[in-house]
Amino acid sequence: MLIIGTVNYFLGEWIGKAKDGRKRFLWIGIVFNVFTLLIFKYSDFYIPELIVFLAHIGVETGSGGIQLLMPIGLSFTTVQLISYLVDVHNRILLPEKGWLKFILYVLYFPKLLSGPIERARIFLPKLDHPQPLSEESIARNFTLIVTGLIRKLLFANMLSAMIPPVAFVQPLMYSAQMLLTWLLAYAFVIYNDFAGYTSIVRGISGLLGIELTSNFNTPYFSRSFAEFWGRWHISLSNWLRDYIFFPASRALLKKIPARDHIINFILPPLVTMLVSGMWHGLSVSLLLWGSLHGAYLIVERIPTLWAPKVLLDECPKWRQAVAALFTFSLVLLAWIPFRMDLITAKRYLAGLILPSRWARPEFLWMSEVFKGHLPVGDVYGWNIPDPRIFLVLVPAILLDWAQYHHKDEFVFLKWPRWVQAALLALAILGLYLASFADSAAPFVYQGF
Amino acid sequence: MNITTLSFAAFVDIVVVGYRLFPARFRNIWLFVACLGFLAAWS
Repeated sequence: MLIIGTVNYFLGEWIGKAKDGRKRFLWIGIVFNVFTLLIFKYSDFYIPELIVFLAHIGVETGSGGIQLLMPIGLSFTTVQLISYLVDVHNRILLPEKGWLKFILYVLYFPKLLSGPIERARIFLPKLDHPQPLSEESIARNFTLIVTGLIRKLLFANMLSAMIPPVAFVQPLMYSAQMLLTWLLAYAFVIYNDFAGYTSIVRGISGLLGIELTSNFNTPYFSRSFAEFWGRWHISLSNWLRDYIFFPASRALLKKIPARDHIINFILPPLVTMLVSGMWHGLSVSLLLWGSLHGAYLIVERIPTLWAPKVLLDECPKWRQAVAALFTFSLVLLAWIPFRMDLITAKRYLAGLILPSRWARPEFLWMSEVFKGHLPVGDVYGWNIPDPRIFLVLVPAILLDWAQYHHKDEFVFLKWPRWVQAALLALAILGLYLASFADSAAPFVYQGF
Repeated sequence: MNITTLSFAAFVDIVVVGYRLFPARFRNIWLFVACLGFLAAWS
């Protein structure tokens, strides 16, 4: 990471200083960063071939073969470094003179593991002028840390533990209502896991006086896909918008000036979402996840071809609610290829949508088991979704609802002191109980 | 609660207290040392 950071530090200087050939240095930097990411991230693709090749020319690789240890957070660091080089090239930012400050931009530990993806022009000045500690900042940052821990330990980890691992491997063993419940639970696992992580690191960084970008803003209440991507993994969405979508749109408009031309209409969102899928991992199912979101964004924009854009806030409440439910349902479907390989995803979808997969709940069987007349056996065979999942889902949704309804993630700090104290006591109790079940589940986005 | 979680909490406490106590010109060096420590521990 030090080498990658130092190379980019010098590249930034050269781009900034060069009278001509700036573009060449920029491209060298982009290729260097992308190539480094490809070497580490997609080593599974080429290492088996490399071992065969080395064996062919008589080089032994030993019993363990070749293993590359991927630098932590490389995917996040790569996009940050590309944005730095592009901004220096576009004269939006002067190259950073201090090596130490620049390396801190790369290695800053609260954002190293899984972001947020910070822009150098916003992050670097904060290193010179950290915010002083005040009663308000301490309260806000502790709120972030506590809500982050609640999201991760109470919501994400507990929901994750309630989904049987085999559900995402052999989905056709279960009825549709079970699959739907687990998919719903998974949607809240991935959201609370990542939002929890971001909230914790923002709180830690805030205590240092260095505020990090907010990455989530109650995304499951979005009423359109454009709104969803403005609320989900915001730092990556903004990066994709500024460094893929806008440049792609501009380049296409130069060739085909008509904005509503089918190429201008389809390609930029599709390419952007495909890059998003590839950034998460090079697999067909992740590309499908990206292209699904690309397709959602394209279809959603079609009415704007003949009618002026409708402002969501001006629509009646019932229409907003229907739009939110519709958006959430399609986002939920897109999580299927995100979570599993293509063949399993196909089976999961079939298990979910075929009417024959909806099975009658076995209440009678369940009551016989409770009376002790039958052995417990496979509880999933009762076709009754685990009620404990809903016991966790309801507070998870309520937490988001409170933040969404008041348009303020620190809404709790405005509530009466006794309510805050009661909620904090409840949170501490919950976290204490959850700590017994701590299985040290890693953060999902750590894997990207 | 496991030793990794507790160690990370202690690490954060030390980094925050140290950062706030050091004079401004040493703060970035302190952060750099903390980041190297984090990387080393993670590795």
